[in-house]
Amino acid sequence: MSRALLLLARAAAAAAFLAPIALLLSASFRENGEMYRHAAELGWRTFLPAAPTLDAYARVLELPLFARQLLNTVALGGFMATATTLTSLFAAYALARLPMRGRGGVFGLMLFTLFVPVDVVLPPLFFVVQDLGLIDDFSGLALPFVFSPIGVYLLRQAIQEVPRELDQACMLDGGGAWEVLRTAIVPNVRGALIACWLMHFVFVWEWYLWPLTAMRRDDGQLAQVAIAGLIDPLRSTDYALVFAAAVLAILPAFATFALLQRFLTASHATTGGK
Amino acid sequence: MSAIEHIGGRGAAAPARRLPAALRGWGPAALFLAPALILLGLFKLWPIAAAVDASTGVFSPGGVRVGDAGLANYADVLADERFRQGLWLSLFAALAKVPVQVALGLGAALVLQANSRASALARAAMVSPMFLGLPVTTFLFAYLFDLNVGVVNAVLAGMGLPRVAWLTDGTAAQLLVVGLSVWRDVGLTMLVFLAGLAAIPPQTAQAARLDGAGEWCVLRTITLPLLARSFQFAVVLGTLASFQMLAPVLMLTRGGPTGATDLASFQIYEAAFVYFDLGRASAMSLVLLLGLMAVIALEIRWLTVRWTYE
Repeated sequence: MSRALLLLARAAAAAAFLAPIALLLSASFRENGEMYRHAAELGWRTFLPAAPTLDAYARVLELPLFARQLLNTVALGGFMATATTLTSLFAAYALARLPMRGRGGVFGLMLFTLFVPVDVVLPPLFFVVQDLGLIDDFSGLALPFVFSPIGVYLLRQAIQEVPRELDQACMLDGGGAWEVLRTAIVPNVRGALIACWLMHFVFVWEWYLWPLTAMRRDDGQLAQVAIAGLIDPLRSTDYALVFAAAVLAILPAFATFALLQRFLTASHATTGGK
Repeated sequence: MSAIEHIGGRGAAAPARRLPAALRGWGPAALFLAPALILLGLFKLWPIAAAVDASTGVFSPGGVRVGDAGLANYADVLADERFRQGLWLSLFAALAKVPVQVALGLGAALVLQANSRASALARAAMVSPMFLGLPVTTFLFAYLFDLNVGVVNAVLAGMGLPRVAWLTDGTAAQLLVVGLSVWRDVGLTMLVFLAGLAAIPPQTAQAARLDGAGEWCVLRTITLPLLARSFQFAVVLGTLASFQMLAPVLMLTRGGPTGATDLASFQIYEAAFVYFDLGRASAMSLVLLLGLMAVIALEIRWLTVRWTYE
């Protein structure tokens, strides 16, 4: 009895999340007119294409700026992931290993910024970036979010787990702070570094509000923001086109995640010194 | 330890001695911290300082400061019926989202914690919305709940129920925006509880079972109290996320129908980027930010961790 209930709960959880995503995929292979024709009555054609077609994908590729905008998203993802991981690594190393006054305060200040959502400070952030002359510019899009409290937290945690004996061994060989980071820390936090990189890469696909306000050139816009412009919820939206574009837009994030996720397993060297 | 202190002094030993005590050890650390701290100062702290400054000013429609308003912007904003309504709506959104999301996330974690293939699949399904990204999730909901072509309405009609105009009916639109937010974030809440469950040593529960405690009793008296830290974390994360519903509101409802999704964050956006009223927008930003901080501080207080397993 309770076994059956448990199974049912699992199936319900999986269905509630996979079904909408399956519908997204299905809709991208449909023809828009056909979708609207079969929406009135409930049947299998409400959910599945009567005649699967790549027509919507072809139309996406004909959108003049789509390829450019998708490239913008991917480039921003690569830049954000790399820049965030590097700045977080340096900050986390200092916070975890270099003794200094006020270390706790600095870390607390960094975590505090987690509680300031971009929705709430969007106007002031916009005007600061405008004062810096970076509106409508790739760097204006990217720089405000390079510093990531989550990245610092994650890497600080990982560095604290590296045995200090490794640092000391490196220092006995005459290494300074930079050599310790390079030879003792980085090789032992590789898993966390990749996790941090991957997380901030995929995170760019979440972006909507900031590019919407800070990037007003169409050729500099991100794919997902441009696609949102195709939706008019109160009129007949061309959903086949929207979803074909959405599928193409998230493909790079999926592919990158699939390629890199096998490196996510924690490094075993971290327990070596204990 | 002494060797570690040593690298602090390496190369910077002589000038470090002349620095005041408050700056001890900052030589090499400052270099490593500089990129993060500069970006933090420029893009996290400066906007808040700029908002404090702008909130006391009067601005021309072109965005030029033409005079001082003192605290008039705050008085204005707090007296504004629409903004007060918007603050309540933001609070209600949190009150609607957080308990549902925490309950569903906890339930999912308890049901799916087993190390079986079926559980792993269901867990992966629940976190999959995170990979779609917020904009694509919003497109998906726009389609599912579309009045004419949406699958939800097709199913309702198939069951003989009336179609619902999700975007033009007030309550339905609120449900849609909050529901989207829960659907998207519940996987993360589940992960928080799964991590919490994994960290509880099994001995306590086993001892209770030996004493004849049933599963329900173990859950109520041992597992849930020991998950206090996860509760705190899940509630704070959920509250933060509930203050980030602006993107779906902008894409789907634009504050409507008749003010049903007229969240405070939407009004801030409108004041700044539609009416270019910088003073007002900044005052509203700061009021909402203080409100959010107050809610989170209260939550952390209420959910203090009383029992630990350490």
